[in-house]
Amino acid sequence: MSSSSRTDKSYFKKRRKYGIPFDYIDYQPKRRRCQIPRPLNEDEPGYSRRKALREQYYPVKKSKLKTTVSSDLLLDVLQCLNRNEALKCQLVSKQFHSAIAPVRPYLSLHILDELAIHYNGEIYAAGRERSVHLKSKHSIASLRYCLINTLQIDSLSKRIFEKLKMIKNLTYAKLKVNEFRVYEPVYRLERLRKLFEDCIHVRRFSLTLNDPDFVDVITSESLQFSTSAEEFNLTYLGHPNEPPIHANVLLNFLADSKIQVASRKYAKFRGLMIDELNFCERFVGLFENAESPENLFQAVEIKATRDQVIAAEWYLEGKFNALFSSSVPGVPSGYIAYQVMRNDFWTLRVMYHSKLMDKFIFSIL
Amino acid sequence: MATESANGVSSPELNERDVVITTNDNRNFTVKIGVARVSKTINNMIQDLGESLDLSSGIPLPNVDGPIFEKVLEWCEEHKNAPEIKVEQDPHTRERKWFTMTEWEEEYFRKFLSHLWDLAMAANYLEIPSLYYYTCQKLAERIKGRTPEQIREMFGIEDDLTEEEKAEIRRTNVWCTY
Repeated sequence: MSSSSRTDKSYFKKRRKYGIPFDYIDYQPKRRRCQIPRPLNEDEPGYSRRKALREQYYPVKKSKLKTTVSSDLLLDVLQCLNRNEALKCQLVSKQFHSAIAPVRPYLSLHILDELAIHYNGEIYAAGRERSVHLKSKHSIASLRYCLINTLQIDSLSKRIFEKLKMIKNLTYAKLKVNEFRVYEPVYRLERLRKLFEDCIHVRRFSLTLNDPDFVDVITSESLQFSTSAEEFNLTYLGHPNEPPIHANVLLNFLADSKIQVASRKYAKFRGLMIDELNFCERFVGLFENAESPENLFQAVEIKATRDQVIAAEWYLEGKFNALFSSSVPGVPSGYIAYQVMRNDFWTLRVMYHSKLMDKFIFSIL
Repeated sequence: MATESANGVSSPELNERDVVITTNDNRNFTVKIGVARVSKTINNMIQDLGESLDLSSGIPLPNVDGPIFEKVLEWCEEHKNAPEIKVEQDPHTRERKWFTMTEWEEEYFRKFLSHLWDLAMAANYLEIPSLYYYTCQKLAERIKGRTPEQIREMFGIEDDLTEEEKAEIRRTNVWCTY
């Protein structure tokens, strides 16, 4: 065995591959001498006047820290910190700066409280410590390493839609959003599908509708798409004087399997009247006959009249598989709860306030 | 020469035997094999050498010096039967979850506060995940909440960045508050 073959790492590689025992005593890591190149004269090939000037006016000096900190070690230290604290270390020294620069993509994400895109296309971001008006391409591109708690857009107008696409082109990634809120009239909701496919990765998607033509939304196909969102919250803030909605329309919407999210769907209807006295009975029937209850909205809160609640009480008291369960965990004080269990153990909980009798809360457990 | 076969290397009797480890300043440490095996690097060496392992002539560690190895051994002695640590991070922010340290571990790092970088590098070379990640966390704990000037002072680092370079770093980090 020649001594030169022991001086590099291939010595270990080859021996491990062929199962030959190592001789650690003789192993010496290969030493390389770093040569500082001599500055070139003007008449020599490869001379760059620009480089020569830069070296003359901004000479790069090596850090005088004796210990060389590797990028891997520094990354493991900085991963314990939030992004702000980690990037701050770039100002410590040249060595820290050059070690941190290549690992920036692997650091933790910066948390932005809110990103708002205004109707005129201006983007404002509110961080924990400061708010920024994002104007330059560079600042918009920095959203790549941000986790946005709330993304709020006033409408899905063409200008805002284009702005979101521009953000995507600059960041080369979908915006990472915890909660996405849209307040939107009906006719533009179809743009949402494209938005989820191309621009936004969202955990909770909240859609608030206060438009009088709410029925058009729940009967059209504008909400029939799948997202990777973990939750979908639909809120309707209608006016009490709106005409009541037909129970069949609402029940078909709540059982629509084409509205797909990763885990749970919630709906809250305030000020929405149903024209059906036995709405509770119809909802329980929908649950009991559903082929796959996981496609139903898991929690539905809906306004009810006193008569509808009394009818529900009579129905549930007489139902053989409805169990009175007001004192179980998860039932707020003052509420009466019944649990209806299917043969495949899916359970529906129906709740209403014992005195106010103003709404139903249905939840699938 | 050890007589155990490669299969017998993991036997409890062998763990009780001594092995000599030589650091880069030519200091020899006589260590129980069971303790030395907390380091995956040394464990691999023992397994690779198998029958040809010479316990008396020693295993060389060219990248670790004596005083640091002494401190590492103290950790290995305490953690020889400890289970493997699990490194977890927040799935959304990617920030690493912090470990909860025992009183002994807190005291250990308090004692060797000025050698944290060396300890981390030695733990990295010797592949001791518990010491490595705990030291990284301790270093992060020291950096957290401090200004670059304070960090420089704490670790004895010279400020070799020019004002232009600092301004450029500040400009590129839009979200940072310095």
